[in-house]
Amino acid sequence: MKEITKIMRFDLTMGMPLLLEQGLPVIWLMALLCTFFVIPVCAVFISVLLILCLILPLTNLDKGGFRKIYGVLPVNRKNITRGNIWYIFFLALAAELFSALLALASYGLKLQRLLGSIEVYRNFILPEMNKFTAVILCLEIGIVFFILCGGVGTLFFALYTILGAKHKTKLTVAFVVTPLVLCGLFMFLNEHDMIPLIDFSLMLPRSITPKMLTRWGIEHIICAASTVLFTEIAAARESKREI
Amino acid sequence: MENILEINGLNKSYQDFSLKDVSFSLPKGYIMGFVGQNGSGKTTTIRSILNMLNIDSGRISVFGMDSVTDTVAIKERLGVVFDSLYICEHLNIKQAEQQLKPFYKDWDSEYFHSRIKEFGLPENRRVGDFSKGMKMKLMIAVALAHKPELIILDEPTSGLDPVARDELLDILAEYIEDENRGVLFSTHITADVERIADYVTILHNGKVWFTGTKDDLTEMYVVVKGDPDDIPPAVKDKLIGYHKYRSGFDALMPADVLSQLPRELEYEKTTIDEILVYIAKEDKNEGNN
Repeated sequence: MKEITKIMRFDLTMGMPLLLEQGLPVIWLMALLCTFFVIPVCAVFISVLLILCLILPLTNLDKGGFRKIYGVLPVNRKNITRGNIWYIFFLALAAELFSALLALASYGLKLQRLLGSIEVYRNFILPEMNKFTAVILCLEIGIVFFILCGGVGTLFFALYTILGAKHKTKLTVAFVVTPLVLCGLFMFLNEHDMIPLIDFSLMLPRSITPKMLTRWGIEHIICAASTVLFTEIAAARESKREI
Repeated sequence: MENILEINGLNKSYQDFSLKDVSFSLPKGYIMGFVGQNGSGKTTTIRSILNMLNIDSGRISVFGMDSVTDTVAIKERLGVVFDSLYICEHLNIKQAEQQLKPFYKDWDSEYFHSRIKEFGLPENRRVGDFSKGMKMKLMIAVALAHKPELIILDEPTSGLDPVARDELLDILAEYIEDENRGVLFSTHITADVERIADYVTILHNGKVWFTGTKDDLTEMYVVVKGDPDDIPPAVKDKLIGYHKYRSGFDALMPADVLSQLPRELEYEKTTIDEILVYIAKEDKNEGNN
């Protein structure tokens, strides 16, 4: 366990400097302003960007001589893989909680009122803000994002570890194309009235219900379980791989 | 003498290359130069010691521990310098230290920073922007920071200017002052080995061609020159890297057959560099044809 946390810390130290690279501080500021003054859902954008920056170095492990570090560090090879994959999982979880907290803070502060003089805000956004739906929407998006990173992301990294760097492009294409095809199919079926029209805004409750909490809990447990499975398969494979 | 590193019957095969029965040992308190042409198997051997490869057979023992089963305990006491930087390039020195420090119980930050200062490395610049010499110095500072008992360097001087090479050799000489330490130093620049190594292992085509003290090596072989017609048949078979010129020939020869050499043939002491060249020539030995 100690070795896994060391690797997670190693990955975090590697990702942290990227948060302040190039023009990112300006983007952070803009996103925060949008979250607090325009719409809470922008909090999800902050989390997406945050996780992208912190995961980025893991996608370049095979570049140059960097991978050799894993042959030098006094860590069991299986724990290196475990640490890397659990790092993605916990990052997704932290990002999800962070976006939820920002959304709740944004809802609580109601700073959007400062823009109340703008007609669009007065007529459309402010009434929605006054309902809790906006926060629920943010939480739901946060959970979808968590599932994408914590579940699909760990699956991607596990497959990347198992198959090796030479399959990175194929994997990336597969992981990008598959959701796009599914979305396209959904839109096609929707447009041709082959599936009933779904109005997500009607599905969102106005408060957090026990049913919703149970569903969220189950989603997180499934994600964690799949991560355990992918991690162990990848770790077993990686321990036999040569560096 | 207690060995800090022992390799016995190491075999590792690839499609186009194999290490064949590699065996040698490094006693505590000494520097071993690990030499051979490019592609002779030096890096493969080093990667085997570090358990980065799955070896086919053989046993590698470091500090008396098995390199496969005790790899974590070994690496805690081992410093490694590769020919290319293995530290994340977008980090600066402080961030790199932050990243590596938790892995070592004996990491000495004060020592690390004093080395960095001594090497004149800028702490706030990205390590990826460092010159080759600076990267090498950084890896040495990292390798020394946790007070390792054995340092393994894979081609550390290739690409370094003479001043940087000299500095590196001085650091190794200073490091080995403690008799409980050891250095395995792979290179194809034999001048570095001549300068600081006590032991030499020559690897050729995946096999150990020689292993022993540097003095033994240079005393065991001589370069012989003269007229090919003067070579006695018994000596001819012993010649290594025989090369015929218009005016004569030259070859490497074991010193123990000097007594069979006729007066017409001249011989002289050899260097490690010459030995490597003759070994390479032996592959296309004209005397064998």
